[in-house]
Amino acid sequence: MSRVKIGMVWLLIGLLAIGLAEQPPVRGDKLIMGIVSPMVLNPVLFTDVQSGVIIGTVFSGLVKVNDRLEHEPDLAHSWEVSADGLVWTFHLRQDVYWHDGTPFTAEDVLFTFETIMDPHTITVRRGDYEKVEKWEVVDPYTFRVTFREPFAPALQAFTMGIIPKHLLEGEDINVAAFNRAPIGTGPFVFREWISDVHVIADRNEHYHGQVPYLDSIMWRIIPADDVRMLELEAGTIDLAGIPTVHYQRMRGVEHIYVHRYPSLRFDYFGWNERLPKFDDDRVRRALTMAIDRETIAEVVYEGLAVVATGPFPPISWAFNPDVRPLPYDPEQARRLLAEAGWQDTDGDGWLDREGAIFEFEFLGRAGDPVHAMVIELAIEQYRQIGVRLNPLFLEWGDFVSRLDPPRRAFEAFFLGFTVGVDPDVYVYYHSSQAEWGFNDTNFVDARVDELIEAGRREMDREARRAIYWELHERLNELQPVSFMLFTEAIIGISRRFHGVVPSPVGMMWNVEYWWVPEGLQRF
Amino acid sequence: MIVYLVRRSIVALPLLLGITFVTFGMMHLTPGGISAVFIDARVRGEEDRLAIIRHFGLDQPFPVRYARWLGRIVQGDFGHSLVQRRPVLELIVERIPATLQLTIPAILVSVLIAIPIGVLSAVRPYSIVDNLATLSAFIFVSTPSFFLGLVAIIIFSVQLGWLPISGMSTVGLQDPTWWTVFIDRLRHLVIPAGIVLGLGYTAGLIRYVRSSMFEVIRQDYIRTAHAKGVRHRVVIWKHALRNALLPVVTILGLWFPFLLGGAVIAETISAWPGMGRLFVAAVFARDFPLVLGINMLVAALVVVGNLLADVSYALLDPRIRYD
Repeated sequence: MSRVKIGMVWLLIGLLAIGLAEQPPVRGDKLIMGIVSPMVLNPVLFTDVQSGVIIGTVFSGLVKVNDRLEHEPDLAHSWEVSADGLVWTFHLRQDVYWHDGTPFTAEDVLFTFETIMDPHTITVRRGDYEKVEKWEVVDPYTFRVTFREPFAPALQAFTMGIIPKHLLEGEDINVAAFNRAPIGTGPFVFREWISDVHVIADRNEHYHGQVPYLDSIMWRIIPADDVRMLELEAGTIDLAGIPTVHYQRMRGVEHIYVHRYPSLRFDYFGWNERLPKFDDDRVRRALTMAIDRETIAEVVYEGLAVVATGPFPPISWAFNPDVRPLPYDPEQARRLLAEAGWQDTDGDGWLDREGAIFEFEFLGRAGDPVHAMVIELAIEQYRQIGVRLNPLFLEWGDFVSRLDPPRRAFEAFFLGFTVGVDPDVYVYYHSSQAEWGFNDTNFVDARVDELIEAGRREMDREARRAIYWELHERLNELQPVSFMLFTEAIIGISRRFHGVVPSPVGMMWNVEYWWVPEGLQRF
Repeated sequence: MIVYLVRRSIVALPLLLGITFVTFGMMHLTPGGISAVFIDARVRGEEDRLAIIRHFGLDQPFPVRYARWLGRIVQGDFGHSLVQRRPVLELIVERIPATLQLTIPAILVSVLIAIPIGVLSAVRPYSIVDNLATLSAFIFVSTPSFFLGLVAIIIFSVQLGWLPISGMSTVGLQDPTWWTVFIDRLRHLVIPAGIVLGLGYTAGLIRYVRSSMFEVIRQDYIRTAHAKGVRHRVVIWKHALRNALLPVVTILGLWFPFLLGGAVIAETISAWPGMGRLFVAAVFARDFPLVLGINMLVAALVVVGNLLADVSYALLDPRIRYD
């Protein structure tokens, strides 16, 4: 071949390479997400996940969380903690504006936290800030928080969405019209909310971070799971969470990319440790070992779950990789129960002690296929070790109220639970939280209390990690609840969207970076 | 007649009172409370929990709560939704247009289909038309409406692509004029109003029209009319039908509350923002003010509906007089 020809070939290859290389992001197009109805669009008041998804795009916090569960600057560009761990100083960005054009300052931050701590505000978030001694506006762009004692989980508490003082001061926040038409500082500006139909937000051209490429996001409210999946399949919505039962089918849909990723959610069996039979860690360990969790993961969760050894997800820095799950071992379970005094003395197939057989009422959620399947398997597996599980499926409101303090009218139950980004588990396993807090099972252990308290005070990450690793080991040993499985989250999104990175804290954590190539844009 | 109407209206008041008392009582007795709303981020701490309970007056004994609620209702204050933190009246009124857009076409469609078919069935009993109508009625009454809706969506929306899957309108409708919007709305109504609700209503009505008509055409006065030489068509559609419609009018009067009570199943499948969904969600969340507000509305409609049925009965049948 002549030199010219060789040169041409190389030129062609070069051009091809450039053409195939990643195109730069372009603006345009709209994202349509299918959800169930949100309740209230105010970061201080909301309690449901749907509201949280929308709030996350309209509001900003001092910091935010990325897909590796690390904290990144948001409204605060930097921050430092004093040597004694008591004083947090946040340096705020000076280029942030509310969606109505008003400049954002530290006064808004102060107003937000004062509103949360105001007893008149109906909010569930007060507990996060109990340890704060003082909030201060040092100057318009410096905000200082002083704690009574060092509090390591604090940074997570500062992902709290900030609300505008100039719009809410003097209003009764519980019923303010603002809750239906929010103004925030986030990447998207709220446009409209038609009840039970949709919520729309548009690109914020003055966003202090990456200005979104997408023109707008519409959240369409579609209450029936099956219909939402049909819409996703047909392409009339672009994004939706996929229930486990639809996973296999949706994987086969060509224009949808199905992401599965570890979440912060785990399922467990809760035992009321006020009852003597459950107030024994040998019994609880036995009850965990009698369940074949691996098989349940395969059969009920379609393989989209891993066995849990504690309340720490495998992706968390607090997760101790050396902790081994309790094996599925019915024989060992029987032995442990025998040690605790449970034997089948009358040959009826059920273990008994002091004349009563080992049985309990087990609460499950009515209408939930996962609950139904898991409990059915549990009944059988417990029968094999002589333990009798009597299921009772309750409607959600009823179920929840049985768990409520202070009555705690239950013996045992099955529930799923989403842990926070910070591994602090004070409200769930500390003895002080048994009467009125989330420690529904009334679990009490002195060493666990010590470790939890130490974990909250220790500001150094490595030292903290050592504490939580020990805590993890101890919780696995004591089984305050029978840890079942950490489930994966599954979502489906139209392939035309680039820049999507799933994260345990939610799909939309980086939505301002999502874009659609020009030729594929639909709106 | 006027006296009759006044008397009926006066009786309605204690009736409504009784209905509210029963509903309030049932909500009160239902296990579970407002905590269902807060479960995902449960209230931490005794004081906060008690503060919430006190704020909503949930710690008072039943008679006190009922009396308080009644006192406010009389002044037109229906209170605020516990979950959505908005005035109950506002939430209800917001849903009315969409609900009517769903239920009125459904009832219209069912009346327009059921009457002709019912008449034909009665006039030609055990013919093909009659057997087909009876069989279809049987099938549609027995099939759960949720299943019917899903199947309709799969066939007509997904596989044939003739109809939209759910919702009230198409996102990004090109060139929206009032005409295209109207057609778009009609297309979205076909499944929830036409199929899910409509077929169910039609199936029930056909049976009523058929049996009523069947009896009427065997009456002496019909035979007399034929004997007098009145054309068959006129005999059936003017004379017989008018008499046969009397029980149908009663049925429609009983259906009156559904106009605003909504239809939760059709609304849920088709993502239609109606009163039914609002009500059911409120019940599950134990949102007392909202549940009671909607209940009052529907109770009032039941009373009005019955009144309308009785009045139209008198209008249709000159023999009936209320004095």
